[in-house]
Amino acid sequence: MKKMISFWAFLFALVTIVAVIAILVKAKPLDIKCDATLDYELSNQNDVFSYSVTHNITLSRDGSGYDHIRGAVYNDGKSYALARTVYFSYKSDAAGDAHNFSVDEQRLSGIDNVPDSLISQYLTYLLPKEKRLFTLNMLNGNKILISTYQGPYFICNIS
Amino acid sequence: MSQMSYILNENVLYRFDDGTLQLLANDEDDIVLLTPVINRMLYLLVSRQGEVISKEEFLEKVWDEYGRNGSTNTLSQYISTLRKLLGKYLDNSDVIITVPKQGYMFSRDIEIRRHESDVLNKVQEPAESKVDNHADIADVTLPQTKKREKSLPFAFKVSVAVLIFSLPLALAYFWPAKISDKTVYRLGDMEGCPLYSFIKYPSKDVEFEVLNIANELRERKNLDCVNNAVFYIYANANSLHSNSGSYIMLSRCINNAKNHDTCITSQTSRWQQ
Repeated sequence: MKKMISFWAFLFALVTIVAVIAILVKAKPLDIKCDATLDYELSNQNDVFSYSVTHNITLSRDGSGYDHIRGAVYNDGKSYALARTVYFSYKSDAAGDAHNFSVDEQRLSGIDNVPDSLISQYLTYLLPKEKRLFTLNMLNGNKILISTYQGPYFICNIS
Repeated sequence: MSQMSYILNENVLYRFDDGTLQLLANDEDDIVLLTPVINRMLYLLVSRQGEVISKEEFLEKVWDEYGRNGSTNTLSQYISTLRKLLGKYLDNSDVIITVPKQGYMFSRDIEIRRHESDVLNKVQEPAESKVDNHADIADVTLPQTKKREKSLPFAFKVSVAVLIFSLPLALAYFWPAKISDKTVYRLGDMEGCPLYSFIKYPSKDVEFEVLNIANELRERKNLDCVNNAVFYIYANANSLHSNSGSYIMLSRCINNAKNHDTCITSQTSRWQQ
């Protein structure tokens, strides 16, 4: 009987160790909902491109997510309504901080009238099949700092 | 001292207290001494002839009550031995009848009567110390075998095992990502609100320069210092030395009730100016 108990205890310990290793090394899913307000301004000689938008971002455990983007885009003295949802999938690295995002689809609402040329020039990360590497870090326990290759991008308030 | 003895089919004398079987036609040299276990089993069967005795009751009254461990396998072996013994003495191979899924029964075909000298004696339970004296009879001795398993249904055991082993694996699968904390460095205050940087600048002079950049952007974007507001800034190297290729990010977060922050982020990039 003692041998039997030892065997099962050993087996359970083994499974637990495997599980702990799996926790440490596997790509970890995120489960996050956050929102952010972002004002962006790009000056290129006399050309100024800017936008003011809100992001409502949801990341699910299954490696998918979406971003509801609402706001206005300004360029060359004109303003455009930006209202679309970007659906994406993501893969996290083992460490859990860096995440490869790939846009699967974007759905435009009826009021969205941002010209494709502007999207292609300044907002490429919204385009389907676009890939981006984002880094996520907690800030003060209740916010997420989203960074890109060029540095911190914006702060997202956890919903 | 009471004597419990039975005469089986008028030719075999069974003495429980001595644990003996004796052919009445022969002399005492033909007495067979039973092991304590066999003796208790035979007593149970004989004393309740015609009644089905369950395996559980056998295990309880023959083993458990005497501090021994028995199992259904052990019981089967002893029953088999007892059958052979009784078959030989009574010339009947069906003395002990197996009742499927119920137990064993001493055949009603065997005539049993209490021995005359014992008729007035009261039936009592056997004493372990008494029967232990007969423990060394080779031809009816069986080894003490493994402990009886009061087993739960197999499906239940399998289910419990699967559940237990799947717990760590499920935990591994659903374990949420631990997003690491971002270290921030305090650069100073802007109108009384603290300003933090995401990177550590090399000198106080640079920190002062970044503080000025933050103030300029804060004023331009109308990000006032209000109650519970905190500012965060990131300014790349180009923003410190020239305007081309500069990238500045300034966030103002206001902490509301329930530790919920509302942040506004402003970014400026400049090229070839």
